[in-house]
Amino acid sequence: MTTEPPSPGISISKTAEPSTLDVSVGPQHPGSGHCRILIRVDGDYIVSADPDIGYVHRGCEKIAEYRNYVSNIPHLERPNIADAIHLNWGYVLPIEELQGVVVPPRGKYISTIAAEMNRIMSHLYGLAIMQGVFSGHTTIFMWAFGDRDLFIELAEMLTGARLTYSFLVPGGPRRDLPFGFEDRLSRLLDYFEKRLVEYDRIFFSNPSVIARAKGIGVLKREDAKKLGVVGPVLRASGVKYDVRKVEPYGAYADLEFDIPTFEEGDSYSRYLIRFEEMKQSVRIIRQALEKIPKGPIARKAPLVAPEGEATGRVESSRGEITYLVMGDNSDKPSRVKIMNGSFRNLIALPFLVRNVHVADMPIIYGSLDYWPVEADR
Amino acid sequence: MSTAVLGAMYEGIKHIFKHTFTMKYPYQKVLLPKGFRGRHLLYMDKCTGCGICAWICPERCISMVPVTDNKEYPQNPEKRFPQYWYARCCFCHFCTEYCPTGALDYTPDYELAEYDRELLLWSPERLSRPPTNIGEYQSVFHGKDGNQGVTFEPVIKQKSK
Ligand code: SF4
Ligand code: SF4
Repeated sequence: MTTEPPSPGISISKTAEPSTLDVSVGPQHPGSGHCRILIRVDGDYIVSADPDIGYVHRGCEKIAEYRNYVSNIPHLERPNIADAIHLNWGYVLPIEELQGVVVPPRGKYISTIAAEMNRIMSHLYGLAIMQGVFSGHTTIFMWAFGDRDLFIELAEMLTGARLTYSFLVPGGPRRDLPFGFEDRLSRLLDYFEKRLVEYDRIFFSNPSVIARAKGIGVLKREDAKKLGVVGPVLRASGVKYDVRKVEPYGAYADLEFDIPTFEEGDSYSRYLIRFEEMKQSVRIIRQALEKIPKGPIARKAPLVAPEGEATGRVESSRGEITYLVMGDNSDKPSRVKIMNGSFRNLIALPFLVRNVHVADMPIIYGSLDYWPVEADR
Repeated sequence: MSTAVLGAMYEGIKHIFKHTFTMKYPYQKVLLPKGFRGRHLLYMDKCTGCGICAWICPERCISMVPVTDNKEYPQNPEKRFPQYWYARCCFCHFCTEYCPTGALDYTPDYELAEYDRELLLWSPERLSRPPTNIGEYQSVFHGKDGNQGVTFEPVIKQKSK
C-alpha cells in the first residue's frame, strides 16, 4: 500500500518528455485571474494545459445554510461582481417558486431592464479586460471601461449601489424606476449604439485583432455539445440555446429579441458574439422601457419558505446559472447548490489550448470570459 | 485589409479632438442620486430599539448598545440603539429597508476609511450626525448623441445652460 499524499487536483502526467517544460500561469494574476493554469510547453507550443481551480473558493453554498433567505443575497452575488443581478436573480427565482409568490408585471420589467443593463456592463468589462488587454489592444480597454461607467452611473441611480446591487429580493425588485431614469437611459442607449459602431471599426474590424483571434482555439459544434459549455461560448459554436428563450423568466416572454449564433467556434466568433449580444440587450431595454406596465413592483414575500426544493435558471452574461434551493419550514435554506457558466466553460480550455502558441493562450482564455471567483464559488 | 487599418486609425485619431472623459476625483466629486447606499443615518428620536436591523444584517455588524446621554427617548425607554461596525458592513441597506419605524436612512457618505481600526466602530451618536459629502458632477453628452464625447460637469452649470 502506498501512502502518497493526494495530488492537488493536477492530472498532468509526471513522465514528461525531456524537451518539455512545466509552467504555472497564475494564480496571482498574470492575466489568469485568480486561477492557476498549469501548462506544459514544448518550445513555443503548449502540449497540454490543466486549470487548477479553487484558489478563491469561499464556500458560498455552506455559508448560505447559516443565513436567512434575505441575508443570503449579498454574499451570493459576490462571486461575480460584474454580473451581480443575474446571480441574484437565479437565487431569488426558486425561493419565489417555493413560497408561491408571483412578482407583479412591473417588477418583472424592472428586473429585466436591470439585468440587461448588467449584461451590457459585464460584456463591456469582458471586452475591455478579457479581450482588449489580452490581445494587446489598450484603446478598447479605455473606451469600453469609460462607457461602462455611464451604465454604472444609471445602475447607481436605480439600485443605490455601483456594483453590489442586491437589487432583487423574493417578491420583486427593491425599488421602482426613479424619476428621470427612462429619459437618461434612452439617451445613454442612443449614445451607446453610436459607440458600438466605433468599437466595430477600431476593434472588431481591425485587421490586427482579426489576425490574432481568427481561427485560434476552434471549438466545434459537436465538441461544444459534448463538453457541456453554456452561454456565449456555446452559441459561438453554432448551437442556438438561450435560457431566455427556452424557459422564459422575467419579462422575456413578451419581448422580441434574436439569439445571435456563429458557426466558426473560434476565439474571434466568441468575441463577436458578445458584441452582438450587447446590440440585442439595447433592443430589449428599449422595448421594455416602452412596454413597461403601471402598477405595484413587488409583493410581500414571507421570510420563511416551506419544505421542498426548487430550481431556478437564468441566462447570465457568462452562460446559464442554475440554483437549487431546498427549504425546511424555517427562515434559512437547508441547501443551496449553485452551477454557473464560468465553471462549465472552463472545461473547454484544456481542449482549446492544445498545440497552440503560448502567446495564443491569453486570447483563448480571454474569449471564454472566465471569471475564477464565480467558478470557485 | 488596408482600408480597415485606415478605418481603425481614423477612429482613434478622431478621438483626440473629443472631450476628455476623466473626472478629477477627489477635487471633483460625482453627484450621487437620492437613495445612494452610503453610510447610515440614525434618527434617534424614532428608533424603538427593536433590533430588527441587527437580525436582518447579513454581516452581523450591528449590535444593540445602551447610550448614556441625559436625553429622554420616550419611544425607547431602555435607550438601546444600533451601533455599526463598518469594517464588515457591505452596504446592502437591508437594515434601512426592514426598519419598521423608518429610523435609519441612506446618506451619500462613502469616504469611510480611517487610520485606526477602532474608529470604524460607529456609535449611535456618531451615526445620527448629518451627512457631509457633497458631489456635484454628472455626465454630460456633447454633440448629437454624444458624438463629441462625454464629460463630467457640475450640475448647477448644466441647469443654467
Ligand atoms: S433602527 Fe429601526 S430596526 Fe433598528 S432597532 Fe431602531 S427601530 Fe429597530
Ligand atoms: S447595510 Fe447591510 S451589512 Fe451594513 S449594517 Fe445594514 S444590513 Fe448590515
